[in-house]
Amino acid sequence: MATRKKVLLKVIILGDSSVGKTSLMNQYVNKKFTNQYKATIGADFLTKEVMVDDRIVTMQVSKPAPGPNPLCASIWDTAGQERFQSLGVAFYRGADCCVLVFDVTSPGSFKSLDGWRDEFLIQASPSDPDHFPFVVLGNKVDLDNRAVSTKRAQQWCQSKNGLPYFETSAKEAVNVEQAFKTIARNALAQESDVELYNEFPDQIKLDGGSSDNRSSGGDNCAC
Amino acid sequence: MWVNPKEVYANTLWHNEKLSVYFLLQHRVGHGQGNKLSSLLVGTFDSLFETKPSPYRILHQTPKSEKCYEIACALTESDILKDWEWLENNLDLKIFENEDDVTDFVFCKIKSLVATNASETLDEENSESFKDATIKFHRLFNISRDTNLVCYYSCSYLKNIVPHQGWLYLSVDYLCFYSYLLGIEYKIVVRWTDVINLDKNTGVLTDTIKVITRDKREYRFCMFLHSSEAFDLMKQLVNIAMKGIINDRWFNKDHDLLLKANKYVSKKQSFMKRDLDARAMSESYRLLFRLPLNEKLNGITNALLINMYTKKSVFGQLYLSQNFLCFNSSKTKDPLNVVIPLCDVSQVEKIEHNKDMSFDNAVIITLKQTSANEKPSFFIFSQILKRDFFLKNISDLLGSLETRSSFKFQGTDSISDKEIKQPLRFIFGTKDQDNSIIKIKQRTKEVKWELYFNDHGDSISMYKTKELVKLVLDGIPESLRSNLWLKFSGAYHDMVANPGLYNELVNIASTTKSISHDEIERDLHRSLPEHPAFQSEIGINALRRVLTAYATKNPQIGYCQAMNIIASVLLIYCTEEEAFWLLACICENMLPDYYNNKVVGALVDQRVMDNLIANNLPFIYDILSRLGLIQMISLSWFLTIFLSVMNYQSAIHIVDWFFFDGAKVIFQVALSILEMNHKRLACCRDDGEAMQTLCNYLSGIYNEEFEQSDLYKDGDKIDRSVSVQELINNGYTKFKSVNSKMIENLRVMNRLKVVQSLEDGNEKNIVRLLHLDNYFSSNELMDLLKFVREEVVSVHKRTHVQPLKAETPMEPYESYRIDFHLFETMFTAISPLAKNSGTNNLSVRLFKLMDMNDDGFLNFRELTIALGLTSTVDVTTRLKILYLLHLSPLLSNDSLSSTDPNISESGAEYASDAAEYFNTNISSDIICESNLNDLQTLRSITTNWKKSSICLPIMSEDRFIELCKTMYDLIGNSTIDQEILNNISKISTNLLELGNLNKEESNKSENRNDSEWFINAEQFVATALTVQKLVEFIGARGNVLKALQELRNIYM
Ligand SMILES: Nc1nc2c(ncn2[C@@H]2O[C@H](COP(=O)(O)OP(=O)(O)OP(=O)(O)O)[C@@H](O)[C@H]2O)c(=O)[nH]1
Ligand SMILES: [Mg+2]
Repeated sequence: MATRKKVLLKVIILGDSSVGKTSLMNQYVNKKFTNQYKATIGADFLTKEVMVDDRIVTMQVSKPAPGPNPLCASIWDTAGQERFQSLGVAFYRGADCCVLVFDVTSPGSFKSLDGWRDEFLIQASPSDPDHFPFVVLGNKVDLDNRAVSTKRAQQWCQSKNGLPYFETSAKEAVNVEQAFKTIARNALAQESDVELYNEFPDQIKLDGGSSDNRSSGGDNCAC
Repeated sequence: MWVNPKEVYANTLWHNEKLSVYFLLQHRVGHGQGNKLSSLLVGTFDSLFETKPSPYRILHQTPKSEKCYEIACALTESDILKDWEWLENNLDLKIFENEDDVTDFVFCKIKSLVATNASETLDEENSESFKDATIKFHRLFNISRDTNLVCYYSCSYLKNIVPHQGWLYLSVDYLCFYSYLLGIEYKIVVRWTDVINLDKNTGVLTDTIKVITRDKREYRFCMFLHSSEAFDLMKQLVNIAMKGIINDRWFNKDHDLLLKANKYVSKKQSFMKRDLDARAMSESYRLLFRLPLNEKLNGITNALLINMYTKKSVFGQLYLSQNFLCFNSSKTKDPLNVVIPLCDVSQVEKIEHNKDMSFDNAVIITLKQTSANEKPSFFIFSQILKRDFFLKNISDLLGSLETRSSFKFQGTDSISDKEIKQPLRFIFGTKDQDNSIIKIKQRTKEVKWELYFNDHGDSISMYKTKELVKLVLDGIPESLRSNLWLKFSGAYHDMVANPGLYNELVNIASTTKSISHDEIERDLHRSLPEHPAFQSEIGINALRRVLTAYATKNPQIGYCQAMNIIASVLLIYCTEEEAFWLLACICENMLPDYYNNKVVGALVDQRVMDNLIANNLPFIYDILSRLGLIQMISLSWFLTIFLSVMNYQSAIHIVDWFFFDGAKVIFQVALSILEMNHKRLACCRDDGEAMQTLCNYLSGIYNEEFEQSDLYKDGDKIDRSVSVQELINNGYTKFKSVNSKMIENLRVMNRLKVVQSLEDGNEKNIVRLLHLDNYFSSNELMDLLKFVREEVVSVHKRTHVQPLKAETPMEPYESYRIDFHLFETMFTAISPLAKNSGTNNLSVRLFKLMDMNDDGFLNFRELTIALGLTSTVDVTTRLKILYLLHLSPLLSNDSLSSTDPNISESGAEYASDAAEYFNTNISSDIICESNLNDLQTLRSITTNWKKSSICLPIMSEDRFIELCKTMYDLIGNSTIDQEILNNISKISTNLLELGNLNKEESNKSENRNDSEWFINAEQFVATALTVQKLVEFIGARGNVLKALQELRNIYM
């Protein structure tokens, strides 16, 4: 483990079919939106090098690296249709952060969040399920026919140990960057919690950093 | 049972029971007697050698003769006594003077009896020795008669390396083993649905078959003989069980088989075994010729086909089934495959008197003319051994065919429709189509195909030869795609057999609403968005029609993402109707179970893929396991036939080959892809990188025909990796060994694992969900669930349950449906409240209360609530439930409990009787309306028991009397304790007085005089709680684990 050169973050995107998971991922990674994506079958996958603020990165990859280091985030986009749910198992394992997406114009997709979260916790069985970093995205805010209010979404997030919540539009690139920054940060915190404890016992300060991030995630929230 | 007289030796193993002048009734020593050594030895002797004589017999012997003849035998004493009586009453043997005459007469009489009996017995399906085995099987294992024994084998069970010689019985539902050796008995009963692994090890002398069950038990059986047959049968049976779980459909005996006049079937086998063998053969027959799902093979015979185009003759097998005559010669170096639909046949004749040797025993088959000016085509088969039998068979079949119109394609579409429904490529040309080079390439291909058609025919009955394989590998020209796809895949047969069905389904679909339709709507624009056809309403509408029509046709599949991608590509080349039938053929025939509500088929094939990688590309398997990518890469490859992972113009070549050669193509291409990426994968450091590598490679695959044009993905230009032609050729040449048979085989084994792991997950989910209800511990829930599974997943209890539609959103516990019979059994075993046999049948009422949707079944959650409320909650709550169960909506009059359990054996019918009973009673009640409402109220009280302080309705006097009766029954049945009975009568009196007080009180307070006697729940509970023994009795915690174990012991 000590020879690990590059930190690889694993992020899973979950949510009902057609809430915009694929679009969000591509907006973040490729900085563009098209309506030419096919429905996702099984799972899709993209990687991206991400920069997270110096402090955390230097702590994270302190060894030979001078200055900030690129991290590699692997983002797994899953299929939303219910019958594909049982396939998730293989992908969930080892995830550092789970992104729950719903469509603000579809109350059904919002209601499903509970199910997605539960399913993830069961299948991935993280060591500390109560504090596993989830980030919630309400997508398609560019549309007029909104059906899930910000307040309702926030309340739900609050009830789940205060999950960070963002309102995004993959189409108009609203808040996508910020959301994923928080996602990366929280994922990183999760990763270091597990691995750095053993490796660098003197750098436990990190914990402070991560809780800091969590609240800053809340600040970034566009609501 | 009379048997043809045969000489036997009267030996010491038999005891005489009755004697007359000429007859002797004996029973076998050791049958049903104590454990004396002699009986023990005989028992062992019987079970070791398959002599298995019936334990009772009648012998004929004349006083002066030494010879004995067995003339009757039976398994039970009463049976043999019947025969004995018959002999005494009907045979007057005094008239004979000569003893030999007596014997002759007896023989004659018995033989005629045997003959008439044989024709009378309905069960002619099975031979005698097999029948004995069946009876023994049912008796030994106490298994219901509906379960058919298929076959039995001599084998030994390895218990801690010690072999125990005995018999392995294979039935449709169970694997059973019995051995009895020197007083030690081994009995094993395993449900096929509980098997998670089957394995066979071939040894020097014996083969060992290993069976692992869900509870992680391992059984090993050693066999000297027939081990492959037994193992194949076990695989087939377990596969039937798994398919049953997947589709909620269970095995039905095929009675057509009985009617089949097949003279060549050996009578030694069981009917079931024959049935199963026939199924297996039909299955491979359908696979070989791509025939519709229900096609059943009639027979096979060797024949010589004289190729009318080349004049050469080919030796092969001729297959005959209800609707088809097929010919295949795969073993020669010129493989040939021909399918002749019988409905196209106009004449079948013998060819006689031909000098040419090759026309010996020949038959000429002439097809109907398809158009007026075309010559009718014909086939000549010669060297048919049993030609007359064959001719008779085929003419029978032709006679029974429904006469179908040969002009099926005309007149169904109106003209305006036609325009829309033509292949989309005609309306939306891509720029490639105008490219002259591409046009030339297409034309060259077309010419090659035309040449082939000239030599081999172009109808559905064309000769499919090696040359055709080459042509397909080169790609089918666009103009021929729809036609050839239909014919290669066999979708053609279904389309021809169901003219007009598509339009009908479209009409139905357009006027209905369903979840599938919504799901389809969401995906219409996400199917093939890069093609101009699907940027226009014309394409989108066509796609909508095809998908919704299919969802209507097959609600069990409904709509699964991936079908949209396939359908959209089909629509480019085919008319809507053709696309529809091709889609149906893919979903039901070529990729079975792929698109059902758990995508089981695709999961199975993903595992098959892993096996194939391990066998064919072990080095890549190592890499993939290092990267943790086993079972991760290939799902979308399978579900969309690669259409979602590479551009469709490349993938379409794979689709061409797929329609021609079946599912194995996907595996061959997948292996080819992995092999070509060996080096790249070896360099990858993690799963992400590997996924990315493959992903880039796949999107870089191009079609040689469109070499000039650039590749785009999501609007970005991308680099080429390999041409699809090269990929296909590589796959075809390097992975030839991957054939359909091998894949079918691997699928069986992996299906087992997938289904069982899904079931496991499902079980855990249910337990987790229901644990929150707090009635039972996780352990108890697990055991309850197991018990229900064991019971429900048995054939006769599931068959009448409608298969659930895929689209109905379901909680996992809803998939278990418990009928009244099973509920009653469990309730009686577990709850102290059920310990009464009195007049008030609580179980019927509780069932009614819990059956929220009145369908005659409880789901698993309803079951646990019912059991929980009556056996695990605190005593106060239980008393309230007891009270509630006596309220008017549930107890509408006194005859309630007289529901006769003998009405029907089947629990479900019983339950629906009960339900009906309720309904009629309730509706005949004066206050039927409010009564039903009350029932709903009570139900909502029951489900929300813990949430609120509920207020139970008051109880009237007559109900209360019933309640008192129930209490007496409860207690009276288990104790004869006078004191407690006194106590109950005391509280009853108290409560009666209290009721009177209540009445006066309410009369007074509301100033009326018409109030009735009543008490409320609190009063009842408070009073009942004062009787300590009653509290102890009712409040006893049901011991679920123990109760279920006892039930199992009774059942098994
Ligand atoms: N107006 C608007 N439309 C969006 C936005 N994000 C996605 N969409 C559209 O919503 C549809 C679904 O988007 P996808 O990204 O394919 O949805 P998904 O969640 O990946 O769906 P599955 O792959 O089926 O699970 C597409 O038609 C997108 O164009 C958004 O922010 N605003
Ligand atoms: Mg997607």
